[in-house]
Amino acid sequence: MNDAGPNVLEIGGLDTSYGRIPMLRGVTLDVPSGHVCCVLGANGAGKTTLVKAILNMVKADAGSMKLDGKSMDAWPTHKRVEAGIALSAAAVGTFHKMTVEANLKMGAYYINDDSLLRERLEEIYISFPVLRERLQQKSGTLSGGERTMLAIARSVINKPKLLILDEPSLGLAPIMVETVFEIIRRLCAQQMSILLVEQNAQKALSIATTGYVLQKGAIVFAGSTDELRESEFAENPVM
Amino acid sequence: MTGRNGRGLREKPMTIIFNIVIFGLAFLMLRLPYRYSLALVAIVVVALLRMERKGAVDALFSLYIRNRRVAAFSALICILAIPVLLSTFRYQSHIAVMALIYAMVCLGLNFQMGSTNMVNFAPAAFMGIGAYSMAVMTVKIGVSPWLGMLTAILTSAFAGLLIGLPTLRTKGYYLSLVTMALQLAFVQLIKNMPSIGGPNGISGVKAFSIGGFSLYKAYTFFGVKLTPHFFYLIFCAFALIILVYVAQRIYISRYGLALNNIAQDEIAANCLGVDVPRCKLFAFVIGGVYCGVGGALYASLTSFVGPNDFTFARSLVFICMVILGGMDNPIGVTVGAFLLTVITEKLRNFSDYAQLIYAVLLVVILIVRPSGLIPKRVRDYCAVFGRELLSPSRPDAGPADKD
Repeated sequence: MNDAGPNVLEIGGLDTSYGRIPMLRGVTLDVPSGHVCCVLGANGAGKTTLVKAILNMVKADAGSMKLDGKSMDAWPTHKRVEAGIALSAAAVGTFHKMTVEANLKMGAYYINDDSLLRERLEEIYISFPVLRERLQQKSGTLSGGERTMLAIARSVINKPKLLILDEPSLGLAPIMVETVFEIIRRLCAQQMSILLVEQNAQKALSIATTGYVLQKGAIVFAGSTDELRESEFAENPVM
Repeated sequence: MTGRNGRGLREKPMTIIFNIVIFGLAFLMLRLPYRYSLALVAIVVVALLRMERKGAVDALFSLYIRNRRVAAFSALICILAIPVLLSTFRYQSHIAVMALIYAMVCLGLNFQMGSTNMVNFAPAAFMGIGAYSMAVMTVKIGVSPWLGMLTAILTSAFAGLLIGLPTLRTKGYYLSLVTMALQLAFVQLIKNMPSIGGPNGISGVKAFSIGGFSLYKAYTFFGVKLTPHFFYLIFCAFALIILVYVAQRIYISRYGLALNNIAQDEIAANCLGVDVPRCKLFAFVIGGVYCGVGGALYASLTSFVGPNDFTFARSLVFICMVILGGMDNPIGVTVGAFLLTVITEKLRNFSDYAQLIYAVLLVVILIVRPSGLIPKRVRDYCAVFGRELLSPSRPDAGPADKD
C-alpha cells in the first residue's frame, strides 16, 4: 500500500446522472490510506450515489477513479470488489434465507484457501463475538444490530483495501450505534482505510481524520475533521 | 439415529438396510401393478413429508455421510440389482430408464429454477435440441452415437448460452416469458423444417455401443431373454450418478452459493464480488449440458424423435418434478422425477385422469410443503468455521449415490 502513495482511493471530477437528471457534479475526493474519511450530507445530497459510483453500480458520466494509484474506470463491479473495495450498506442487505455462516462464506467469495479463511474468521469472532453464537441461524432472524454487524463482518473478511460503510448507524438503537462505532474504531486502529458515509455527523467526525460535505451532488467542503468541526457545516443539524 | 454409543457398529448395517429399503421401494413402485404402485407412491410421499418434518431425512443424510463408503457401495449393488430384477420386464425397465432421463433434465432445470430462481419454461426444448442433435448426427450424418451425444451436449449448452444472454437484461416473469417463447418457437420450428423430418420426426436413431457391444439390444443369457433395456438402464444409472454428483459438487461450491445469493439479492451478490451475468450464464449453460445428455439418451432409447415429445406440456412436467422433489436439492429433484414418472406411466390406463391427479398432487404439495418433498439442505461450513458439528443434522453433501 505504501508504494502506491498516501491515498487508497482517488476520485477526480466525478459526474453521474439518473437519466437526464444530473446527480453528482464534479466530485473530487481522496481517501487517505489507513484513515477514516467521512462524507456528510443531508438526504438526497448524493451520498449513496457516490458509493454506488465507486462500485460502478451507477455509471459515471465523467471523471476518473483510482484505487491504489491504478485506474479502475473500466472495471465492472465484481472486479472492483475483487481488487479490494468492500461495501457494507443498508441498501445491500444480508441474505435473509441464508445462515450467518453462508453469509460470511459469501463475503469471502474470493478466498479459496480454507486455512486462510479460518484465520480470518478467528479475527472476525474476536471483533464480532455475537456472530459466533449465531453461526447456524438464518440471517433474517437476527436483530437489526446483529445484521449490521454481519454486514460489516462480511465485508471486512476479505481485508479490503478500502471499506465503504454507507450509513452503518441507520435504524439502530443508540446503544447499537455505539457498538457499531466501537467496531469501526477498532478497524481503524488496524490501519484499515474506511470511507464512512453518514448522517450522524457527530459520531462520524469523532473517528474520521478527513471529511467531505456533499450538498446537492457537489462537494462543498473538503478538509480535516478539525476544520470541518469549526466550519458552518458542523452546526447544521440535518447532517 | 441409534444411541451414540452404538455408533460405528450398528450404523453400517443400518446404512445397508436403508439402501435396500429405498431401492426396494423404487423397485416395487416400478414393478407392482398400478393400484399397489400408486398406493406405495402415496405412502412414500406422506412418509417423506413426515420424515422431513421430524428431521429424519437429515438424520438419514448424515448417517450416509458418516458411512460414506458403505453407503456408496451398497447403493451401487442396489442400483445394479434393479436392472437384474427388472431384466425380463420390458415395460417396467422402460419406465425406469425414462425416470433416469427425466431426472437428468430436471437436474439441469434445477440449476436455473431451483438455484438461481430463474424459472425456465423450456427444459423440454433444451432436451429436444439435444435429442435432435443426436438424431441428426447419427441418422443424417451417420456418425457414432457417442459423437452424437457430444454434439447434443454442445448444441444444447450453446442454446443455453443463447437464451441466457437476453436473461441478463430480463428478470422474473419477463425471463420466464422469454423461455416460454423459446419453447413454443422450438416446436414450431421443428414442425416446419422438412430437412429434419418436420412433423414426422426422425427415426432410426442409433443405440449406444461400447466396442461393438450394443447397450440397447435383447441379449439372451443362460436361456433367459433379457429386455433390451438391461444394459441401457445400467448405463443411464451411472450417467445419472455422475450428473447428481456433479450437481451436488456445484451446489456446495462457491458457485452454488453465488447462484443462491443471486436468487435472493442480486445487488448484494454483486457487491460481494459475484460476476452476476457470468453466473447466470453458467446456470443456463450447465443446465443445457444436462438437458443435452438427457435428450441424447432419450433419442437413443426411443430411436425416434418428433416434435411432440418436446412440447410445452412436457416442460411443465419437468417443472412439476423439480417443485415436487425439492428445489435446489439434486437428490430431491431425482426423487421427484422418479415419483412423477412412475405416476404418469402407471396412470397410462386412465390418461384422462392423469393430469387431474398430477394437478391435485402438485396443489397438495404446494400447500403442505412449498419447498418440495426433500427441500434443499442448509449449507454446512462447520469444518471451515471451526464449529463443532452440532448433533447429527444439517448435512450438506448429500450422498451422490441415492438413486
